[in-house]
Amino acid sequence: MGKFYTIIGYDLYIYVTGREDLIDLEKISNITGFFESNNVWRLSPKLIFGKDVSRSFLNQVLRMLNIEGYQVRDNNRGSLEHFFASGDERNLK
Amino acid sequence: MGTTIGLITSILALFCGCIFFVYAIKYYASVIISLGEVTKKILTSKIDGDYNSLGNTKMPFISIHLPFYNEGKVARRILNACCSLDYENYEILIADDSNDETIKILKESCWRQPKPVIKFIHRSNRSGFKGGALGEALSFMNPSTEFVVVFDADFIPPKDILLKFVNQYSNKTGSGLNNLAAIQGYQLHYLNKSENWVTRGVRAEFSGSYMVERVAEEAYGGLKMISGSVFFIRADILKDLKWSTSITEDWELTLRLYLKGYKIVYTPLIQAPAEMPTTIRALAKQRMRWAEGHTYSAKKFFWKILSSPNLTFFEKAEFIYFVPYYLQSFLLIFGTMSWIISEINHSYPWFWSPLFGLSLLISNFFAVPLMGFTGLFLEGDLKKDYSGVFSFIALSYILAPFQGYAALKGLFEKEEGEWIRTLKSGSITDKVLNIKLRGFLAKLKTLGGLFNNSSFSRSIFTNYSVKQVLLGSSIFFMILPLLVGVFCYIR
Repeated sequence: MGKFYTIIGYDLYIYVTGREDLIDLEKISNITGFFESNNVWRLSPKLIFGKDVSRSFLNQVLRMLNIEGYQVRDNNRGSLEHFFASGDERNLK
Repeated sequence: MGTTIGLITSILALFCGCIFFVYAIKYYASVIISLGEVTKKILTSKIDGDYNSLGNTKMPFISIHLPFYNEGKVARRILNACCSLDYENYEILIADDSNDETIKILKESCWRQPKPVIKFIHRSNRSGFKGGALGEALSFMNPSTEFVVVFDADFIPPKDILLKFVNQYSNKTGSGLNNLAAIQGYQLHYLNKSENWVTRGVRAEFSGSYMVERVAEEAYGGLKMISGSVFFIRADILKDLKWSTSITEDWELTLRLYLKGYKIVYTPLIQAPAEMPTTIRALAKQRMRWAEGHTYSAKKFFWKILSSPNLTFFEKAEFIYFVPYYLQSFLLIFGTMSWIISEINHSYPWFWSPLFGLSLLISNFFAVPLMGFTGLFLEGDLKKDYSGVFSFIALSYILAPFQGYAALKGLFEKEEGEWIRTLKSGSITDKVLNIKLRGFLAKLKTLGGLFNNSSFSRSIFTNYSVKQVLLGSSIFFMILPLLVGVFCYIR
């Protein structure tokens, strides 16, 4: 159980396991300007995905995630995508 | 010279009239079938089955797919409706292409609930339009999904809709229809029917289509269409066939399903209310897309469908009827112009008589309105909504040039055009509870009565005076040109 993020290439996964609540997307969106119409993103109750995130955005969001208690975690894309689709966290590290 | 032109145009006008007459016969036959015993069976069939009786230990997982494109006025409404369905095992997946305030709604934390899980997939462009968005949704649905249900954003699915779909599926497969791929429900265009004369007309049109035409197709085993919203489809088949990027992706999928040997069932008993376009402009845009995409796909699959061993005779016959469906609009304009020119020149073929022409005209004119009247009658709304049929007649003629142009475009173009969206207003003028058919069924459910002996079937099928007028009119108008033709020939 915990609050994590993983960066694969230019893609960002922010996710929670167990009974943790995910960070408010609106909060990230307001500060960084990401998760708007011109970006590709996905959202489930447990995971936020942002595609092709810029370096400047990453710096801002990582600062925020660290403050919120999120930890970096090395999960592969397959496990994260499976987690997004099914909510099954068993394949996650 | 004038005589030759007159003769040619009169033959062309007669040719168009005969094509319309073939369609009219189909519409009259549909009215007769829909008021008959076979339809009584369809309309009073048992919708509450038991999925578990087929050996299933738990209800199948369903993924609801909602394609969104700037749906700010209706987004909350459909999300709330989908969250309150009486079903345990399902998720909601929004395939979003919005670039307006809809995104703000989707980001609200209230949608992040444990059950049902709601997933949002936002794309930065509209690549592939609705089919592209739905295709994206397929990649992210829960792996345990057995069935997919699609609703457009302006629909309000009732609480029991998933259960009804599952039960209908188990009833049909239980009775031997093993290659059943999809079930199409009734798109009840009702919510804003009292808004203006356009919405009243569209309401009558849909009533004729969904209560008469499609019910008749179901009765005689014709090809049934998936219509973009309110349908239930096996997830494994959808993943295999995938969504296309056609501007009428539903019709295209229908044809590919039949080519693969699958079947589609239509039931008017599974309904989801929706709103209608409120202006001629919006309606014309919608119908132009339908006309272009429909004709393009019909052309693309024409020989494949006709030569496929997987379709029955009736399914192929229905397809042939569908092919020039929107081209009729062009033929209406072309035929009318030919008729006017021939009248100016006063030249007709030898077998022609003004009386025969008039009978053909009358027969063709009343076919579609009679379907509207019958549909409203079967829904118990004839008294309240009959004026919509007159609006519908007017709309048919207003839309003809737009549809005719788009159908010709679809017939001759190499690539389909762009998707033109239908704007939604979010307005509701008529509550869902007013719908008679739904009310009857709900009442029967609480009474626990068998549908075959129900007050519903009695009220609909024993309202003899109206039913007989509709039946009598259908038969009269259907045989009118034949009688007049024989009379003219003898004389």
